[in-house]
Amino acid sequence: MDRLPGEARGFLLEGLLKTVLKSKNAAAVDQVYVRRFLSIAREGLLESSEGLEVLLYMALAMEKEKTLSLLSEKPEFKEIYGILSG
Amino acid sequence: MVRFGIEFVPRDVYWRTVYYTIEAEKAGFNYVWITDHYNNRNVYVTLTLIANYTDRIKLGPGVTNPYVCSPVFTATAVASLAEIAPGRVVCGIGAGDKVTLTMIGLTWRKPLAHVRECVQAIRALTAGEVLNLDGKAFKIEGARLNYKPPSEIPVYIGAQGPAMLRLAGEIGDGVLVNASHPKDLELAVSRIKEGVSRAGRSLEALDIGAYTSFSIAEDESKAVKAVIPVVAFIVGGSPDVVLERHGIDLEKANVIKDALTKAKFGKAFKNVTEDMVEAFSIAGTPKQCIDKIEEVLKTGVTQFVVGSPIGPNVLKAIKMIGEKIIPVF
Repeated sequence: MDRLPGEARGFLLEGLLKTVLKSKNAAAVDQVYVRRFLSIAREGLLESSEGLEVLLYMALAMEKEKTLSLLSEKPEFKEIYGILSG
Repeated sequence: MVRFGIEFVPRDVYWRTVYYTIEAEKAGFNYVWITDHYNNRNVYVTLTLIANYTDRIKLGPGVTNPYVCSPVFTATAVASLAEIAPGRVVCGIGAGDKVTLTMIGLTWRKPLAHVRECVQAIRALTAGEVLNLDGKAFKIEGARLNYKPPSEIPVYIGAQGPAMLRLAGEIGDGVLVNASHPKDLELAVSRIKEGVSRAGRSLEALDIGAYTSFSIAEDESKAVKAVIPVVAFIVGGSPDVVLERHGIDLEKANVIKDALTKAKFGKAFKNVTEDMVEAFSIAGTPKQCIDKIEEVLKTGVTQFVVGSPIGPNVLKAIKMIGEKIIPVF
């Protein structure tokens, strides 16, 4: 996550936020991640590596297929996609 | 200077409402109002979490009612909240919705007395006083909180009808008027002024909020599409006198009312016309919204509350309001 360039971070943040805010499977996410998400959002650091990681966990818990599909859209996410898609 | 408020209906999981509020605070909103309906997430649970994750935004129920929650319960709820968010808590009280109250086995009666006495009780209890109230709605003897909140809690009255608006002018720290059109707001402000003069108060002491149905997007048609369901429900609940004030065809309005009663929502939404959207919402591009807000503010409104649906995309709408609307005022 640390190696992602700025533009890719913005794209990923927007896509992950859209997923977690629209998903009908919100109950699938662990409250530990929800609390971290809210704390990081309060600090305005969602685009940081930690923020993106938390969002990624939340998105995967709620919408695994959609999240993997988002990660397959840009070559910058190849490494993350490879790890997560096993 | 005008204040900006935002209303959330906590029908979604709590953390999304909290997140939207975090973003609303960053966007420059001054107030967040959380609606209180038994079938949504609990208003005080939501507000407690909002208090924990925000720093400046003022927050409160917008509005609760004295039928479902006794004034004593509301007083201790807002007083507790004020310990978490000192100086930031406000409390909105309204007369509730007759249909919903009847559905849950409560009798909607003496709304003016209920609201008046509720305000009286909340003020006394949150000031640390012993409350003795021998009213028309409540009989309370010797009630007292075991603690005192660290700051005063302004009480806003949710009002629409003439008598409730006058009462709000008479005793409220603020008013929340459910209207979006300058015509309705002008009339409401004149009623509020009557109450203000009846009590010998200054109008400046009162924060007059327009609780609007609002929808913003770069594409006007998307903004309008998002507001149509809300407008349908407003038309469905509006008396003929209000519809006539806006020149709305009563027959068309009755089609919507009938469809809503039968839960035929598609039919109801399809029958919403342009003049209904114009009368009961503020919907459009940032420029169109700015023009309409300017008209609203000319009526004497001091707080502009962005209400449901906010926009076709809530997060984008909040950011758009922060970037393009709030700085203009």
